Amino acid sequence: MKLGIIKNEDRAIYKVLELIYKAFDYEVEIFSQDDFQPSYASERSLDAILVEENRDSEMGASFAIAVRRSVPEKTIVGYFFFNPLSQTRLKELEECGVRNFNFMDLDKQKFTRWMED
Amino acid sequence: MEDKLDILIIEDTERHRESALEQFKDHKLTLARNYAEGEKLLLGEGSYGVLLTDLMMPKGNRETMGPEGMKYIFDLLPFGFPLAFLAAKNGVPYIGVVTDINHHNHPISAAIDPISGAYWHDSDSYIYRVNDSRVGIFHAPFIEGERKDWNKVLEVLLK
Repeated sequence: MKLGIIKNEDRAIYKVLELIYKAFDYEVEIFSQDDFQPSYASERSLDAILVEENRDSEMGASFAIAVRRSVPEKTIVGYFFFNPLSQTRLKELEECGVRNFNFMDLDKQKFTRWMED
Repeated sequence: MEDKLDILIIEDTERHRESALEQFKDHKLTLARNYAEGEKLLLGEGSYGVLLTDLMMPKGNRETMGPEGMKYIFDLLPFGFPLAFLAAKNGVPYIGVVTDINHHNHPISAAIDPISGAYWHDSDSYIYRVNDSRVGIFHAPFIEGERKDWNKVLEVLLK
């Protein structure tokens, strides 16, 4: 399985995530919000795209929604957050088909389940 | 046709950009892939004799977007219209907005029928004057491979 991680320039969670996912034997490719193109989902054979949160706003969550709206349905799109999101925002992401994953909850079993659901 | 034109093409679909490269070998051609790239070129120091732009394309960057706007940055939106007006504002003399979307397949394509005709035609019945520019809105003519025939559009604009 191949994962694309879209990093946010002012966060570094993606570096930790990259190490964890590689340890889980997933292939990982890192993108920035500026250089990511929806066509990469098929061109780079990405099974899942994980968007890292932004520190001071909910821009990352909105970016995850933009990605969800523009890549094939079969591509999993997730939003990884460290800071709590409002229930309204969580619900919006869920309704748009973005899977949420709280970074604080991360463990292998849970992540594997999340990916394979 | 004039000898050598400085043509700007703004087009997000690769095969249509390739057909422009093939068809305009004898002109000076600049290519942009989305609204942001096109806007930057139109606001830059270069001056163009012709702008041919697709109708629907993505924004291409996150500039100005807040959390609400960010959701739509990859959506294909009718940026061809603001680009055409920007080009007219900046004095580009010949401007064409050219869509390959069949009017049965998208509401915005159907909505341009009254101002462009429902299908491609090579008359200048639907050419408009915006400032000093000749502006045409077109359902695209095609060459083989369902690629836009930019040259036919240019010929109508230059009539």
